[in-house]
Amino acid sequence: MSELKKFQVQTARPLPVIVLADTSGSMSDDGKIEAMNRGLKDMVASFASESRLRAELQVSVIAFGGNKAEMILPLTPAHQIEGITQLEASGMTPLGGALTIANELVEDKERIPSRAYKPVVVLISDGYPNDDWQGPFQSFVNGERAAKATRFAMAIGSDADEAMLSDFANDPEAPLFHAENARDIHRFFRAVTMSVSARSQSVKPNQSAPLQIPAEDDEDWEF
Amino acid sequence: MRLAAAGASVRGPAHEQDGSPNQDAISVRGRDGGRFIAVADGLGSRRFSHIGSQRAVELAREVNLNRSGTLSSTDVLSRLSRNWRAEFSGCHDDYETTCLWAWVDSYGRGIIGQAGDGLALIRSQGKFRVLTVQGDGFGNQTTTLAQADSEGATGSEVALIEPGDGVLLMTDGISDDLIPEQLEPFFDAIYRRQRRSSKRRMKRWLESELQQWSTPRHGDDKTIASIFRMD
Repeated sequence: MSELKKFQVQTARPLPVIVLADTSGSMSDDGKIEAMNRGLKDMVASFASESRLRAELQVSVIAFGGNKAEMILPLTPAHQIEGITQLEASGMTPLGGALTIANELVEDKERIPSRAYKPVVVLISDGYPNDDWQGPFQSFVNGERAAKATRFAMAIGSDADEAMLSDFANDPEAPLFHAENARDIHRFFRAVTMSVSARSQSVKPNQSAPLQIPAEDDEDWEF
Repeated sequence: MRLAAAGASVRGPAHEQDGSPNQDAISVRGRDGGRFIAVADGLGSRRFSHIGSQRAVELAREVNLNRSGTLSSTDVLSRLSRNWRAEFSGCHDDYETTCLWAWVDSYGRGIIGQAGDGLALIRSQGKFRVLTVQGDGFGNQTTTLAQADSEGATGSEVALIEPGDGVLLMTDGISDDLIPEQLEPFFDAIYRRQRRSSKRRMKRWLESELQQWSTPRHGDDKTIASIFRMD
């Protein structure tokens, strides 16, 4: 029997995945919000069913729409998530509020301990933020811990703030992804899922895994 | 006065699964009544880091055992980093590694150094402390031996005056899974076992403990080495 077991942490090292989801009114067009809901649901289900993990995948969702940003899913192990509140599109694009919530989460050593693998933060938006977002944006991308996170970004449609989203994405192998339709949104989620899964199965899950967007005919998608 | 040194290194489940080598390395030696230990963790992302870590502990041994008495732990770190980089003729990216080492002479006086992550614990003159500077980042983000001149490196002098004084070095495959509040009891548990074991039995016991590691989904290689003053 091990004499040293009592000194060992009895939980797997977390790998947090934080999704910042634009739920402004324009997301209700062309099935975008439905595609995001489905993408999130599939991603969580895929994480929960992974058995070869070297980390505990945890997911948090922060929605920004209406007149405020809100954490609709606190950081939770994927296998314990029974369902995510369906996102509904309305109102403005309060990105600054979402980044403030995300920054508080990433910098909080209680919720994300130092032994966690570096988080993946995913920003999805189809428009221009319209709250006071510049300060929170700089705080997030330069934050002591947040700056070390892997950041992916997806611009939906032609009205998205691509300059801001490009600045957000920090993985040289995963520049800003442009989605033209609901199918693209789902492809992006699949790519994030595959990248995180690959990382979590590797010997050193901190190494970034490339974001490989699956080919359009590589999936089953019903309109 | 008697010093005892021991250590063990085991390949992690992730490397066992994919058939790749243990990227950690270890050295435990004695000379003139003194003891030397070193552990190194080759970066998982680098192709030849198992070679880099092995050379790191060998060079640490050479630098420490051949040093004059005036070299400080900082001087040793600088020299070790320089010698290690020279070993790979400036093309060391594929060989990157961390390195932690300690040398204690037959009088119990010694120096200890750390470049990169892992954990170094000390009990010197009866007082326990953690040498390692805790970073603000996340697990498995490390500086390396090659960077030791500029950042992420630390060192200290130690004096093993009392029985139970010692140094304990380990790679992050162990340290990242230890309960932070339990580091001193962990140090004591290793010492208590060392007190009643030969070097060979201690190695076998450590290997067995590392093979039985209980943290769920752990995958990393694990290496630990110790020097204790026994009387």
